[in-house]
Amino acid sequence: MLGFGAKPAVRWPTRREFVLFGIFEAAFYFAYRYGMSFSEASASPFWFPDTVLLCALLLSPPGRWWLFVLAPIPIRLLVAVPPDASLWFLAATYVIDSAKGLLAATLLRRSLRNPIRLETVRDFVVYCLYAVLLIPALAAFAGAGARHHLDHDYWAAWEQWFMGDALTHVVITPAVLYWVFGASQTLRLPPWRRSLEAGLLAVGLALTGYVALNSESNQIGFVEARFYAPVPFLFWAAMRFGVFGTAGAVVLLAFLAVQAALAGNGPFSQLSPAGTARALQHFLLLRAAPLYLVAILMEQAKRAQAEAQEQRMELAHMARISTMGQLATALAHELNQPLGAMLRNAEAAEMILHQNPPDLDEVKAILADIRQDDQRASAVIDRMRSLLKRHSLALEAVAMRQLLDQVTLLVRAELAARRVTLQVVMPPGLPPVRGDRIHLQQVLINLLINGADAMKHSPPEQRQLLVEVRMADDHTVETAVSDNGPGLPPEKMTHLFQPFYTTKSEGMGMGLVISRTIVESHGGRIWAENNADGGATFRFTTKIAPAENAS
Amino acid sequence: MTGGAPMIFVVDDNTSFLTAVARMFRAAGFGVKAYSSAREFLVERPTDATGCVVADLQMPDMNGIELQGALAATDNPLPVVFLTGEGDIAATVKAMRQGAEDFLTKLSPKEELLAAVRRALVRDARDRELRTRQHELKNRFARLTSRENEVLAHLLRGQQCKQIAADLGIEERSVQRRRASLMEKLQIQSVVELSALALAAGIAGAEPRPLATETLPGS
Repeated sequence: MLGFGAKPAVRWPTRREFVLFGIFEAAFYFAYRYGMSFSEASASPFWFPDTVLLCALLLSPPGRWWLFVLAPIPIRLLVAVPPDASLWFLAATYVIDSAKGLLAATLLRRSLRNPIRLETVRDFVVYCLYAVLLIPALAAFAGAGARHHLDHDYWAAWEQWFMGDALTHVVITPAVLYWVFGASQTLRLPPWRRSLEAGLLAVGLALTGYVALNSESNQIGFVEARFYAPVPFLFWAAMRFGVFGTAGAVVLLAFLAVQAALAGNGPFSQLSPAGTARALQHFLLLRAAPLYLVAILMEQAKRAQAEAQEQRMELAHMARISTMGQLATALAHELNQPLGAMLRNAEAAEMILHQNPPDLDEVKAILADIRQDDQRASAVIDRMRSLLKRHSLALEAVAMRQLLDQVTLLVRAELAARRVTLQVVMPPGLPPVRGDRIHLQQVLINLLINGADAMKHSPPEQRQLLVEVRMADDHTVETAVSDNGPGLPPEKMTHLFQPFYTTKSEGMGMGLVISRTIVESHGGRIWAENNADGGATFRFTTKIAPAENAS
Repeated sequence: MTGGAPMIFVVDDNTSFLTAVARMFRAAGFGVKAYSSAREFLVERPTDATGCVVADLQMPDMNGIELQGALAATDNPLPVVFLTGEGDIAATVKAMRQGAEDFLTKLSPKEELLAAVRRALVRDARDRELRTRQHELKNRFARLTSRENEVLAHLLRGQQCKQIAADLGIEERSVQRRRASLMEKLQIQSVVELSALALAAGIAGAEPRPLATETLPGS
């Protein structure tokens, strides 16, 4: 985005910087005019110019900061100011405001990652500490001092000054950082359901906010309850739409509150102008801060979950690559069958065409066979490629028959090379299961190769693998992979699904762990047992797909 | 032992490759028979077949090497040309040691495959001639009586009639008579030819000379 990642080197400003500067000038103009439009006694409930300056400083390299410090001067001189404001007071506010901006930007840059996203609770606390509490408080001492010279009450001026600064940084600054400058990074085109939800949320918040803030009296009772009507919508925004949604909700609520207060409506209507402003500030500050915390906590939890999920995916992907590596020799052999057949067929056709008369029917048959072998080779390559690809979880209705066919295609050659026969037993009319095709294939391949490994020392005629698929209950399909090997030693049963536990000399012992992760992420279970007549059986369950998704 | 014109017996569990390679040999002018497993071939082949076998190395149930072993144990061991999907060094070495005629991948050029098959056919014809001759020689030796065999064993050790007579405790003239009779049955003119003939027929006692001379001092 604008200014993100720019290096603080002296160079000619880019077009983006010109645009940023233009936006800054316009924004500062309106912010300043709005801030100054309040009488000095009441003062602005938000000191918007602080938001504009801080955002500009955070979004541009420190080498350009001087520009944004100097740029407000003409605006401050040109905008009509309250008649009782003296030039030295204006100069003092300028110096204080600039110092605030520079200090806040420096501290935030130092302690937070750039660009500032307020994604963790720590980020938010640091931000609040510096930009909302510490710097406004310090600046308020200076500002109140200046006011005090103009015969204002020192502490009242301090509070006014502090609240105006603090509020703009709680309510407006995060919204600007997120909405205006971070939008393209976080906001992908949302699916219609989410857009609809956001729309409903906005309408609900606007309605309840309007009702709450324009109610006729501030008496305890029904009206009091109505005053809390927007709260569910605020939490809705925080829980479902994160910091992004919270920023929007808070700005909307602030807008409604200020409008209501200006119109003399609602709970803030029966106070003095200064009292109204203060009540408004307390109201917004105490709404916005906890809401942001909730939103950030939600986002943190979601992100942690997503990261864990991504790690599992990555691990599964690596395991697939390693499995395919194991199968590579056999798969090359598998591919050489159709390739060899195509070659021999083509050679035969050439020779037949040289005969006199050529047997064209035979050539036709040859061409049909070449086409079929080509498709066979493509199918193997497709299967390989889909298993080797990085892959994110995609749950769909998967027919077990098809799944096993695809798996067989990949392991057939490997099993043949190891002299292992594979038998698949499956009742007809089995409903499809809900699962990720690639991951379920991965589990099956893993169990089949494990079974073949287990029979390494058995005589060839005993090397039999059996896959049995059946309904465990009305909603569960159970798949069992049985081998004819020596079976599992009882003391090893408990460790089977633990990381780095392996009974084999090769391999990392991750296969079964990953299989378990995959099965459990499908809501199923995986376990092993020894057969009564020798060998071991690994079983896993998968839920059947909801009827309407059945394919 | 006449199996008619030489044939190529193709054995491969992969049907599409089996069909294709059989087509190619047929188009090249060979007589071809295709089998989809080693067992099927061993059971259904004509026992007096002539020609060669082109077999896939990797087959379930019974692989190419095992087929070659089984075939070698019969009295009609056709030469085997191996085809494989992927060059497997260990399997290649084993196959060559067992006397594989050739070892090619399924993607080897047609010319190499045809050349290998022609070599195999030549070898089969040569081996067959050798076997036929050996068989015929064995038949000749089989006609000898046990007394003639006794004399033969001593002759093969390089002993003279006098010695043999002494060893067997019979008259020298009887030895000479039996020697003349066995030479007639074996259709040879001189004792010198005898050892060469016995060697060709694979008759026991026809070991190379040094062994035979060693037994001399003791006798």
